Amino acid sequence: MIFYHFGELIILFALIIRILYYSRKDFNKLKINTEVYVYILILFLNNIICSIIDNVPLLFESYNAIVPSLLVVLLILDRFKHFFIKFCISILISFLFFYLNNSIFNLILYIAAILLMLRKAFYFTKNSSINLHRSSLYIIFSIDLLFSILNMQLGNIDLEWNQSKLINYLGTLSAVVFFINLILTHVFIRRFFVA
Amino acid sequence: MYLSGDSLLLSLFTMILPTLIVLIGTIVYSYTVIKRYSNVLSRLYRSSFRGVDTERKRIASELHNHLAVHSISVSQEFASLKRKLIGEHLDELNRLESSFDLFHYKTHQVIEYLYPKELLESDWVASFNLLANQMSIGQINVQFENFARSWPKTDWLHHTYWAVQEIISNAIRHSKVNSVQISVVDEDGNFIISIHYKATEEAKKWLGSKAESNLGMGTLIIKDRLKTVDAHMVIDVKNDVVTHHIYLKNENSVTR
Repeated sequence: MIFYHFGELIILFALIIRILYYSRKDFNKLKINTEVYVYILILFLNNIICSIIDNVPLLFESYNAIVPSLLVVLLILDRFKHFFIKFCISILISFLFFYLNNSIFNLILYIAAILLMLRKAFYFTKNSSINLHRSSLYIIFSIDLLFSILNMQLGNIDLEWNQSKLINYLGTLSAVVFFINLILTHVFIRRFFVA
Repeated sequence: MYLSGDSLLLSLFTMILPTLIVLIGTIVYSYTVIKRYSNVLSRLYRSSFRGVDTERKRIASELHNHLAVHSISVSQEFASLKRKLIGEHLDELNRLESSFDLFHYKTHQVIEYLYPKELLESDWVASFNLLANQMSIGQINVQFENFARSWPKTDWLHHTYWAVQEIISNAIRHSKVNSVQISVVDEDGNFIISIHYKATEEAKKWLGSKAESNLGMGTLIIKDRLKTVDAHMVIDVKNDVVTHHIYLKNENSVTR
């Protein structure tokens, strides 16, 4: 798992560098489709914090509270013009849900985030060919969120999973899926900066 | 602490529900993307056929002009030489002139068939009459009968014409038939072109193999041409006769 974390960290770091490189001439490009960059940033920060802080349950709960609420708010406020206000609202609401820390709310938010991601992907398929290529990333993120829900729900079921072989396989499968999705994100991220 | 059965089932449901949502969403997304790309391919086909037809028209026009100019000058040369020659040389020149006239006639015919004048004039009846005459070579006999009182959009004539020509060529080449009949009729908003020929053994074998593989340049051309004009074809074999029915929508249909 150390190799997985290290590999994920390198890929995420490279992704952040690429985003900054492509947006160096015009940072206003980051104001469109913000949820993509915010999600990548959260994954990167999560990876770093996991390496520093040893409190796995706290990190697990905070990730599952913040990520879906942030994505839902950013996707709902997609057309909202004032970027700063949109960003502040999304941060406030995500910390509110982090404070509430209710597993049912988190689940509903995750499902809402998946539905909104799929909705945006379908919306992009009706648009120009550039948006059609961008839509693939939203499907990839939906699959990521799905595996996050599975891990969250299995974590919420109060059973001893250590002895379970199937759960270990699911954990390995989740890691593989997350890794492949990160690589695919590298492939599709360029489309967000092409005119 | 172990959960009760109900709460475990609920937890399982909360895992299955998002999985189903993502699965259905991914399938619908894939279908949407594939449909979009197939629409793009259809547009590409239509524009490539348009390009082929335009190029054909251009080549026919250039050949026609080229032939006209050169045949006039050659005829003038023949006329001036005839005034100077006598006896055997004159006979030889006359033979040369008749060979040249035959060459001129055949070349003119090829140019006409390359892009018939009737297609330019968008005349359905005259086009199919010409097609029947063009395909009637040697022992092959192609006849055309018109029972229609109205005809579809003139834009569709080119594609239908070439599709019917391909069907008749296939019938002659693969089914080894000598007689083909084309008939057109319009009824209930449909323009129906029927191509009939004898169901020889070769025909049955060929149609059977086409039904399985659907390959072959000619078959693909027919399919694409008919798709461009939103037509569909039904092939049936009844009473020892193969009939290809092509159904085209006819907005100009006259109701009885």
